[in-house]
Amino acid sequence: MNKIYETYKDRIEFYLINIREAHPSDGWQVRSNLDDHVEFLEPQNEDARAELAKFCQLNLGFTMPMLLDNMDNEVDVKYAALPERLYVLDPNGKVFFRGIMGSRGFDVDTWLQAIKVQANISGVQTAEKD
Amino acid sequence: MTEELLITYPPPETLSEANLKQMMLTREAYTGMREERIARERHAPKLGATAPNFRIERLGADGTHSGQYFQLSETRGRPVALLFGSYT
Repeated sequence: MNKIYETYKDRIEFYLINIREAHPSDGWQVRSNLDDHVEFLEPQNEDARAELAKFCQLNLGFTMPMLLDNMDNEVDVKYAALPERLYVLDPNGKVFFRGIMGSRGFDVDTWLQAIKVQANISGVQTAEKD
Repeated sequence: MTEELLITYPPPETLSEANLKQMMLTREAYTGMREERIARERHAPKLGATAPNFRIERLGADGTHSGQYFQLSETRGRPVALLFGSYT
């Protein structure tokens, strides 16, 4: 994920948006998180949500810019994002690619294909590192 | 042309008790979760549609509050890749 960001960040803006927890301990707890000792209550305010986002950034090592959805879950609702989802928008702000909602629909390869198309359209050709 | 509604959650009647146990959900909870996600999916922005605008806070490089806000409409002229998720 960081490699995609580093490769295309000159031509595409990347944002990682922290939305409400998919599997909080007080919601739909899942086995895999229990096994990994990932147990958190759903944050009840923006500070608590930011605190978890910080965890996310430090533990998972994301380098792309991060945004924090508000407590109305405005962006999650607008994009039907929960639990996780990928999108690519064209320079006119139209939806060019939308991934399928959820972990089974989370397909980084198709997202990358869309990113490559937009990167080429956006003009500036730089040597690909692959 | 209408886009197919793409949902990866199988209908509840196709799931065994073992499937549900593995997901740590009752059949009722699974059914409710699936219906809610289908309802939300119907309102997801379609391909070619204008992506809904939003204005939310940017986080600092160390994941803390920055007090600065990001507005999607300010990115016009540049393509944008979005990745939604949470820690859990």
